[in-house]
Amino acid sequence: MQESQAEYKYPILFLNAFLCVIFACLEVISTTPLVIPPLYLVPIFFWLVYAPQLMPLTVVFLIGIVKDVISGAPAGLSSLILIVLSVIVVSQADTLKQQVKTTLWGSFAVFTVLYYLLNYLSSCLISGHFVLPQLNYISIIVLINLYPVIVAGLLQLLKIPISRVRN
Amino acid sequence: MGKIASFKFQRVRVSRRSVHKGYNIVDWLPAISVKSFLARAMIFAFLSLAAMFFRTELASSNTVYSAAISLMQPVIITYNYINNSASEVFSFFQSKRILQHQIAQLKQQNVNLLSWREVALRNQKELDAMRKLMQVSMPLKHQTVTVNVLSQVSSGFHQSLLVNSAPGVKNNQPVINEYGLLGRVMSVSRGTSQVMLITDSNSRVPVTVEGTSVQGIARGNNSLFLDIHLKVHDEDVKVGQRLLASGFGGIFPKDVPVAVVVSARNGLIKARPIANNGQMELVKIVTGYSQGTPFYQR
Repeated sequence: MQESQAEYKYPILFLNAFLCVIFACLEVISTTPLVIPPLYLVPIFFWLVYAPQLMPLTVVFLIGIVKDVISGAPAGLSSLILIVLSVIVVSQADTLKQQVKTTLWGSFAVFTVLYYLLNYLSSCLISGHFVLPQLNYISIIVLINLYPVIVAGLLQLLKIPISRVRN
Repeated sequence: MGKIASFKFQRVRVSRRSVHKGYNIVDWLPAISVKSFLARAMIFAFLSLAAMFFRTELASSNTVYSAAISLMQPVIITYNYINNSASEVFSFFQSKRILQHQIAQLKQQNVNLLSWREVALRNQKELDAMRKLMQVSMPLKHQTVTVNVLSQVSSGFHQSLLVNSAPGVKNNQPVINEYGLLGRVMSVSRGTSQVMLITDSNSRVPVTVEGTSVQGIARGNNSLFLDIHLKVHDEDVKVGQRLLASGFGGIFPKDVPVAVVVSARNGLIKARPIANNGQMELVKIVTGYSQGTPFYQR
């Protein structure tokens, strides 16, 4: 019974990957006034804390590659940043799981800032000089505020296979 | 590193209390260890580095880009539709004061343009008479096709536009708007075309300083400005002077406005593109023109 339920990780995993790739695409193509922040950070953070099995590194790597290809950045740069962040999150997952939702939300804010910081440093490193930071503060704030909404949606993903098992 | 290594092998679980009652499928997933996760992370980090160092051209590869864009086309079209609706809502809620200010500005511009129009018509008439007198053969008219802008990709690595494709659009065709030169078509895929803006670091536009014979190259650097490299160092290039496409190279039509000089110090000239001024909805792709002839000539 337990093994048959565990088999349902694949549809969830596929949906996760699909959702994140769409989010990565939307981030790159978005223009004013509807600027879309990197929403894929929410599923990556959430699943890496609670269930890294549903967000394997292959998916994280794929999201980064897709983003790089569409945005014209050197292929592998975003993947590297996301993998470094994944390692940090998984290493702290045990502690984070014990925390209340608000603390977890705060940790996501730190995760987001770290992501933007690494992105900025990498662009400086690749261009060979310090570029003026063009941080979109509104994007960061919007992303952090959207965290509970997206998490609620992600939890609905888990409901799909469970309801099928019950039927 | 020590802390990561000291993690024990353990099952990753979601407690019902902390997440949601009933969502317990995660409890039955096979456990992962931090150690094996770290090992896999190192492999993927190595793969990412390898991709960066050995296949940097992957990102700029037209085939890969076109394939990715073709796959994402439904998302792009949906996003574009929603974004346009959002723009309309924002415009609707623009304050009356801003609109009044814009109307006053437009009225002033209209007065100026009407006086310029009179001068232009007089000059045109004179030019036609002179041409007739000297038996100069007239150049062919330029052919353009107007397309919608789907999205603008602007990052520290890349500056491009994604536009609707149209019949006759091919690689390297110049793209303009009502103000001047925007860039050139980089790739054409099914339904869409990618336009490399003149601010992209791979863009080079042969230019000439307006009113002089000074030639140079306008180089993009992925910022809002262009670096101007003159063939011969000229101290007389002043702030505010316009740079026009020289027509050399055969890609960009002659005399299309490219940029305005914003700083000229110690031989380092920076210019601001004339055409790329914020949000763009429609652009023109020049599908046919006679090389070497001024673009705006009739």
